Amino acid sequence: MTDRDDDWSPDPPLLSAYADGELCGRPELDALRLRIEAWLGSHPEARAELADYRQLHELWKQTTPPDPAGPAWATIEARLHAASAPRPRKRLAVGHAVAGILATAASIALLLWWSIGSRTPPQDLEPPAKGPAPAPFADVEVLPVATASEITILRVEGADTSTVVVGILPLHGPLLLAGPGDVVLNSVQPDARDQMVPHVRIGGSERPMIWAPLLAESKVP
Amino acid sequence: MANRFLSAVLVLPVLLLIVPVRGDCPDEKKIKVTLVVILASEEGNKIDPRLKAIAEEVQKMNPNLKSFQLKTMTCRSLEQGEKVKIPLIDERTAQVIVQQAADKDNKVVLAVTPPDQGEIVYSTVCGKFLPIVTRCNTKCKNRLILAVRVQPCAGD
Repeated sequence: MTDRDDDWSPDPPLLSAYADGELCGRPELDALRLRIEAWLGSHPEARAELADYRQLHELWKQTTPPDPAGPAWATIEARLHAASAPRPRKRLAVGHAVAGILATAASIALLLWWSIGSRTPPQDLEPPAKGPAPAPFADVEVLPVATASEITILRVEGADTSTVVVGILPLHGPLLLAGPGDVVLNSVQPDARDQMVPHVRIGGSERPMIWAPLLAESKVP
Repeated sequence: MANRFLSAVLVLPVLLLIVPVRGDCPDEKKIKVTLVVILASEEGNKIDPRLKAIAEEVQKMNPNLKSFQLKTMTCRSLEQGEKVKIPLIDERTAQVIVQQAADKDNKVVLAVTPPDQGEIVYSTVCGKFLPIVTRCNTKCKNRLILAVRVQPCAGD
């Protein structure tokens, strides 16, 4: 059976991944890579498309902006830490402006990546012209951030408490249990279905606790 | 005489504006109820550090419960007599009523109805949790434990 005989052909994303070398060095994809190569051997017209993909890949590599250097990240981190502390509104605005610029830049980079990642081969690909450097983001809308007193957190998952950056959690730190004498029981109603009444440990030297036993725990004191 | 009357007429509105009227802040009379949902399991041996104290107490009653996870924390501000149903897990709820605001001893009377149980009415100090081990197991076979606290305390 040959690839010419069957109807199989790599779809554009797969061919693009092959052109980008994403199938190399992955033994589990060797069979797929060999099949694409066989298909290319029997479909010479597809090689032009493959060349376009490779040219696009090179263009992307050439135009990818470099990552910020270490000192730049350190500066931003320091500003973010400083932004979490209470301070005058004017200084907050500077920190937010940096965050806004970064968010805008990240959005543009993501949009660029997505548009190139869609792999629609352009008709004429030419090297990018050496134009002037992009203008800095002068007018960035600074998003206002609420203060802790403006936020009331009514409910939060226990695993998510570290994600709450503004507001006061319902619980801070470890649970402080009531001690002996802190709780006085007024009444306990039995369950309407089976008349179960929980064990109540109040009084004495132990910490107060109410325990509704399972069947297996019916002997719990 | 007329001058005194005129002075009183002018000064009185100013005083009414300056002196705060008691009752302007109804929230001060509200009781904040915090309910923490804890899932205990016989599997594993992982205890959330925030639950260390409650785990020790529960393990005195059932040493087989070895893992304690803080599932959710919820707070509601309630007026005296106000009733609220707080969602727990698996569509179960607990009903809480503040039956009496803080008395002279700074104790609050609370009525709590855990799932699959009758109502429990108790008087408690502010700022400390009362553990209530329910007889509910979640779909994942975790034992449902509630911890209830009221605030604020006098002087807070």
